[in-house]
Amino acid sequence: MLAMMAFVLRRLLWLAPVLFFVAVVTFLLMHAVPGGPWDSSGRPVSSTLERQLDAKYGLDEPLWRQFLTFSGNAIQGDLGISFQLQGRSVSGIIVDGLGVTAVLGLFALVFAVVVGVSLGVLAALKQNTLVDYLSVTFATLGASTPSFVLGILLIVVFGVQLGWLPVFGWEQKWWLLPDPRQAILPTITLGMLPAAYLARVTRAAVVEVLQQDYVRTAEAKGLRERSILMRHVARNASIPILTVAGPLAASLVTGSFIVETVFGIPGIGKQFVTSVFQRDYGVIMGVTLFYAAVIVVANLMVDMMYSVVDPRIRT
Amino acid sequence: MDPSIGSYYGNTYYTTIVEGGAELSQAVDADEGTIESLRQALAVRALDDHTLQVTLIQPTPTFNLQMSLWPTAALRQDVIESHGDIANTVWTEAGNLVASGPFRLAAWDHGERIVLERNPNFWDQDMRPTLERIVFSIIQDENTAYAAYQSGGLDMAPVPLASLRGLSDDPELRRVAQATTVAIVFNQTHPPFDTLNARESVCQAIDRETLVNEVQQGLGNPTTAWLPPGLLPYYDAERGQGLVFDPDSVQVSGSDPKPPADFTSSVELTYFNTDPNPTRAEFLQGQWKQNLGLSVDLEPLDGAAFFEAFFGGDYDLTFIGFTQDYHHPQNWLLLWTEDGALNTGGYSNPEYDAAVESALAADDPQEAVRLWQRAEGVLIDEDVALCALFNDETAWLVKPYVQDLLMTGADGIPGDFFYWQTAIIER
Amino acid sequence: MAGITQTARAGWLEPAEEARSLWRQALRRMLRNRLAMLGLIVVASLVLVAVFADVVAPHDPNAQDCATGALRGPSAEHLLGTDGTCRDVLSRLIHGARVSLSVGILSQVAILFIALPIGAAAAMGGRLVDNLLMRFTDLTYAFPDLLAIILLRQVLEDVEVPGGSLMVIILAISLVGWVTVARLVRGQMLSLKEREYVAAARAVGAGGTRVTLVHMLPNSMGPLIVVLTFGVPLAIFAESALSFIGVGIAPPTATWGGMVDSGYRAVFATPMLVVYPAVAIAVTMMAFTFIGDGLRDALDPRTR
Repeated sequence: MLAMMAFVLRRLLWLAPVLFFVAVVTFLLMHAVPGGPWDSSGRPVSSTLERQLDAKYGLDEPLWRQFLTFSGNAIQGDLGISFQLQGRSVSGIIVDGLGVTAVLGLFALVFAVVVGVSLGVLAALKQNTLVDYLSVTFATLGASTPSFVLGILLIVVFGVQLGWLPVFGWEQKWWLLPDPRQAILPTITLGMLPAAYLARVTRAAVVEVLQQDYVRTAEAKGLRERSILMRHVARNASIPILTVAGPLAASLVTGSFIVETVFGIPGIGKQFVTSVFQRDYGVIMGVTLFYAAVIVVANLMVDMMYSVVDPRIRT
Repeated sequence: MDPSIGSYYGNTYYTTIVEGGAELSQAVDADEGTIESLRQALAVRALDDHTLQVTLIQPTPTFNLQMSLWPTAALRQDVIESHGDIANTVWTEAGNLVASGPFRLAAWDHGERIVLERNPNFWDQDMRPTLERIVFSIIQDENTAYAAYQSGGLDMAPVPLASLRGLSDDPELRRVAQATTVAIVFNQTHPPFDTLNARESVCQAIDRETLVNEVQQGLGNPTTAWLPPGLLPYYDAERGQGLVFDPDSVQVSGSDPKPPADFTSSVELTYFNTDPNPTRAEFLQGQWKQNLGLSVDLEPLDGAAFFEAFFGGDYDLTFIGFTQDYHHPQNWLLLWTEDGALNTGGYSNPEYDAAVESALAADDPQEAVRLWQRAEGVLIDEDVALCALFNDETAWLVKPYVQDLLMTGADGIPGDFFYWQTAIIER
Repeated sequence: MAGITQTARAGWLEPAEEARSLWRQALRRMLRNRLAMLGLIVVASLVLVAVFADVVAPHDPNAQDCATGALRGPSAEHLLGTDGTCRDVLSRLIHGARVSLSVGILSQVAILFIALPIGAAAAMGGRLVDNLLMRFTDLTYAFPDLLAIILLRQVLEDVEVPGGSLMVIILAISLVGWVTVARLVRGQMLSLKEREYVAAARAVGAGGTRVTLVHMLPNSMGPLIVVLTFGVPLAIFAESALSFIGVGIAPPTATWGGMVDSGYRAVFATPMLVVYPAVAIAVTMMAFTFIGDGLRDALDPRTR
């Protein structure tokens, strides 16, 4: 237990250099891309006005000093303000978008794990039967249909033809739950690819474990089928599943630009892409650092779960 | 016009006509004392609560038109200043914005929706809105908006271009020609477009009929003129006839045409990479390859990069669409003078500038028409500074229960000038 | 103890001979697997089509047939109709195979070459190596792909890269995609390391590298192959998403991803423009899946 805590602590300390590195590179890249925050309006900005605006937001300083100022503020928890949505703080924008994206991501993750893992296990247990073929077909279709195509297909069938579900929008007050009718289509759209992916990986892993000597031994010893599964398969097959599920979870939290665009959902994924196109430097930095932190923590959790499901693995 | 406000339209549309405007707008680096005295010198006076006196440099027939544009809308300075300053956009948020239109901004969820509500304090009894509320749903994906319209979630929505042909008989389809011209702009400081011959051959190689009727599914009208056809009596239907595509010329030169000798370096077409521009750009690229034997590289840029490149003159070829702000050739032709707002490709011809200058100063309306036409003739026929492609059109679906939605050729969103009279009848 | 040692003996004592027969057996098993053979035939024909696209395609994929028009349905002249700029859809589909297969396969090969050594070193090396490599993957992971790719394109724009934007896209996809695979290799190896036969091999004195090469690499190939076969269509899609944000393969080059993206704009009027390239991608993916499954079963020493 103590070793585990030390491990977690060590990894969390790693967060600082990771964030620093990500911050430096993002900062440099962002300023190297042509076009600035005042160029996206489609109107020429006079050089004098540009100078005034730059001075007002500190963009006239040398890059290294801008970076120092940003870092200093960021350490104190102040990510600055948005250039495009003035009066809004970057942290406020992240919190708002995250509330929506996290709920949608959670739904999609649950969908992906439930559908993907159960299909995968089922297919492995009933290898080379109709169930197996159906699940392989599902996985193939799910992985080869782009999310915008799947999204519009669901919209046309369930929104337009059948008229059962709303076509767009996401009413959600802060972290509270959205209208479930609005959530169904985006959840399926976002969760389909990970579900297909998990189904494939799970099937492969379970098939592999089922062929291991110790499972066969256990089978020969006459243990009931279910307890074989519970004891061996679940534990060993979960390694590859976890490896894939960790980053998957992170990517669901960071949002999907395409799904959010198709369904008109005000999430953080859309916000981030918009900020890149608008050169909204403060939002780009804030969201990037937030992403980085989420991904590092997600990976940490996966590593911790490795050692929970298989204590022989050192972490 | 005040440099501390930095208004683009103020600078573009008013400084040239109001006495003292140019001096004030150019005093950007002056000290505060000088700017203050220039502010005082600006010939705009509020004589009483309802009377504004503006002294013009010369008789300006477009003055009334220009005064009706949005930059002259009355705003409360004290309200704006209570939210910081005007160079900050906080004062434009819902709850902060105080304006004087028939509707007021009730909510603005950025990237999601804008809600307008009837303004109970609106001064003009005759323009009292019928609608209580208007909700604009901000949907980036055109297909989603179309599906939402079909499922009854929206009362009006734009038609995805590809669906236009199939909807041509739909009674809910509303098409309105726009006072918009889409044109190719040459950078005349980049060879080979410093030569008239190169500009001319690039312009003649584009089959505008196919562009409009096929690529755009019939939306818009082919043109070779810069002024839109509705701008009478200034519009000249004969404008740019020498630039029309001639399919026979391609057949003569054979299936493997060679570009004119001017084209020695590689040429790039820079464009704003947003729908439907990529399709247009690919069509143009293919046309030049097929009809002229010219290989053109495409350079799609996002908004920030494109406008930086465009206004910085960093392109060989690009195409833009311009929609008029007011119904007068002055709005269209001032853009291309030596220091014109869209002239970023280094077009410079004293003859053109002089023609515009004299048209601005003309007292006699007949004479003015002749002079504006003369200016456009220099721009298009003599210099081929621009290569006009088509006049744009909007196509929206509107539910039959939406009544009195009057769409114009220069709407931001279809019908927005007349929302006050629009009504929803019993469904 | 004796039994375990014997298992180990069978596994590694005569590696050269053992490996040869192992591969021969794998090949035999592979040849007997009907689905895998079907997959191989499909991929082989796709590769042939891609290589001989100029001969197979009825038209120049970039030629605009203004007489026929845009978004027109099938005709004798254009078997699958024309796209939004009057080009022959069938010819673009055929030429698209070339670019899309290159993107899909080359990016996975690149990912394999980056991820396998890094993942294996992380699992087998000392704690320090593991930590360094895994933290490095964290760094790469934590980085926003979109910004990186936009910039990579901008930077490489001015450098004459052999293969042009195609190579840039492959590079970008592999640089972003190797991390998941590296972590998978590591996870897989960490788990294998504790398995009986590896422990046994070690117990009889096999060195670290040898254990890795002889026992663990082939044994960790299963999930890896699955992930990589999945990676092929994912890369083809990534290319489509990149076209979507305007940093894809330079137009007018035909790619399946780009065709899905541009077909989507006309999805209500001409849904087939999305269906054709999507089916092409699905078939390609199905073929790679069958091959992957076949390979995994064939390489698995336990399924004898």
